[in-house]
Amino acid sequence: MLKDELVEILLVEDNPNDLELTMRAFKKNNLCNQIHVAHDGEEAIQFIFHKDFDMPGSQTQRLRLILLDLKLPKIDGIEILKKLKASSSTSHIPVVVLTSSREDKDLMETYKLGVNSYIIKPVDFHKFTEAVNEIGMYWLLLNQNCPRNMPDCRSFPKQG
Amino acid sequence: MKLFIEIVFNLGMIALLSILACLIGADHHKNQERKILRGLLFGAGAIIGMLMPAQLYPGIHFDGRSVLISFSGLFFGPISALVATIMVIAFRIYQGGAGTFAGSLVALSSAGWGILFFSFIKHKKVVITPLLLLNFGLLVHVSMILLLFLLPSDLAWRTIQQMIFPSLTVYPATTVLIGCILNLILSRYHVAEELKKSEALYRSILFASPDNITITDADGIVKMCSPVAFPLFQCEQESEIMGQKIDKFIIPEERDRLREKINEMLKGSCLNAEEFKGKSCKGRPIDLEINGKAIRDAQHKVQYIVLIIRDITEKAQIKKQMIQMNEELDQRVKIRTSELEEMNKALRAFSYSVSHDLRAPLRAINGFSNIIMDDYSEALGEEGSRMLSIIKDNAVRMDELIKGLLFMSKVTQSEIKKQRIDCNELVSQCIKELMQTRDSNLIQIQVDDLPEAFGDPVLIRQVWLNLIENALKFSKTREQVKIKISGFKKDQWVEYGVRDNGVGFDEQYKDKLFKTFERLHGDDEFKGTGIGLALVERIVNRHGGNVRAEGEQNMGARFFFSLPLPL
Repeated sequence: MLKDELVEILLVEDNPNDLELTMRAFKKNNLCNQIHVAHDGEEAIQFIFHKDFDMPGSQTQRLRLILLDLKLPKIDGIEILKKLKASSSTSHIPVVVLTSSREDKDLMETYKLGVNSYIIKPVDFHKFTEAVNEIGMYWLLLNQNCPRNMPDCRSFPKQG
Repeated sequence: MKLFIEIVFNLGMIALLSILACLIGADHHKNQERKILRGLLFGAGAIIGMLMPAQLYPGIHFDGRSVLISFSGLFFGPISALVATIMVIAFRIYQGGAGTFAGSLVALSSAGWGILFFSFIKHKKVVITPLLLLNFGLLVHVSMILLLFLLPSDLAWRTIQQMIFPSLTVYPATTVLIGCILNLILSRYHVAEELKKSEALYRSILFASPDNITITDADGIVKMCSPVAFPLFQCEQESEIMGQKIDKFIIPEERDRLREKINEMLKGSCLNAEEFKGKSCKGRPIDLEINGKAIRDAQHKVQYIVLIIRDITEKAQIKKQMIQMNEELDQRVKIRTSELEEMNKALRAFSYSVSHDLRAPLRAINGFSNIIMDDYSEALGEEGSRMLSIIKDNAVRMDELIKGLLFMSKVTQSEIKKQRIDCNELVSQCIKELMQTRDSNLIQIQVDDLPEAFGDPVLIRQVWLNLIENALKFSKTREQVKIKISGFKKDQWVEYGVRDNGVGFDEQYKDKLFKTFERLHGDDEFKGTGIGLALVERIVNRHGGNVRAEGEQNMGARFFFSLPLPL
């Protein structure tokens, strides 16, 4: 059972430095072993939309948070977000955009697509750690996620 | 009875003579000479009449001289009357006899009445009617009767008795009759004269007009035109224009349209500044603007078409050039705009990649320095840690600079969304935000009641934030920080001010204050990027306002910026 719960966070990040820093921040907050990393957009899509991603209890269905960088090789973050929010099996997973810059255009587009949070990575490492901590605290501990096997969340759009 | 017949005979002759005199004098052109001629003719007529008078007693004769002299005055004025009177009196004196004196006076009084009526008619603009003539005749001849009292007393009474009846009947009647005839002749003559005058006037208009005024018949055959038509249409012979169809001067392609317009005019509408392509006799192209209207007679039949033809070749050319220039300008603006858009796009892409790609390494520098400090602080030692923290701080500082630059370019490029701004609210928000990390016991900020402004609230908030932060920063060395914020209306503007009691600045470096990356203090004294005030200036300038600063070394600084008042 514990093994099943292992992957709760998908981190999509192409920059190895940022990745390491983020991982370190998670480690400091004891969230490290629940993270799966995708290094580009394609990898992320493959991880999320694998063969039986919409089956109950599948890897995707166990995801409780996706941290998404916007500027990614191959398939960019916005594209991934679009796919996530378009599919009824994944639209309930909270997505937090974690990016370098505050671009009005990106902000508007991601919110329009239904992003749950938009975080700008601070350069200052302490602030960065704080931000990652807060994201983990909020989305994994405080926030009540949509129950995975509730029919409203998953099958309603299929019937419609 | 014999006397009566004689008088009538005499008066009839007078009538003929006066009509004759009137007709003979009619063509003479010079006014003064004509008046004298008229006087001479009327005088001569009277003298002819006097040759065959009705003789009452020896030396006392009656004839039509009173009528003739009075008419010379009535119709032609003092000069004619005077000439005729002198002739008549001279002849009467020559005839001699008992009635010489009275007869001369009758001539004078008749002239007097004539002149009196002449000026009355002239000044009051009265029309000569039979009634007026009757009154005139009565007055003249009642005077005549009265003057008969001047005859030798033995003759006077008898003469008056005999003459009173004809004087009050035949004489006035003759006056009315002849008067009417003369009036008729003269008014005809007068009308002809007026007509000539008005024709001359219209002809002079035709000649003086810079536009070619052409008169054609209903078929468009030219009957008359201004002299300017000749140079305009490059014609030398009159026959090249007169009697020609107006179509001749319009290029063949447009003749149908002209014909159409002429038909419309024949139906009653006016032609209003219609443009046609014309051509001269020698084939030179001309641009014409034609105004026109059909002229009708009393039966509403079209008699003429008046066309005012203006040469607008030059105007049309200028217009063409202007249109061409406008088009070129338009094209150039389009090209320039697309170039600018291209540049803007490139700039946006540039700042996007700057914010993304330039900041990632900084994050790595800072982050890994931190990791080293956390994990290897012992190996580093104190000096190593100090240096590493310098690296770290510089990374953060560079990030600040990049952020500032990005914000700056955003301010420069983005559209300003102006609205009414309550600066009291903005300022209190800014102060609240800034005081969160400061000790309020040491800082005293006085805010006056600030007038409203018109601008982009997001940007203006940044201005306030930067200025107040600046004031706090540069007075932090004071024991008690005093900041005063004020605002005054000035014409269509409001000028806000932020003063502090901080370190101030040297006036000679004033120009550097608002320049990007320029700083008047070292980082060890006061930290900063050199972007804050540059940003302030850029935002205020984009609103059309100005910034200025006053200060003295160690005596505090005063910053002012102006914004438009709400509409």
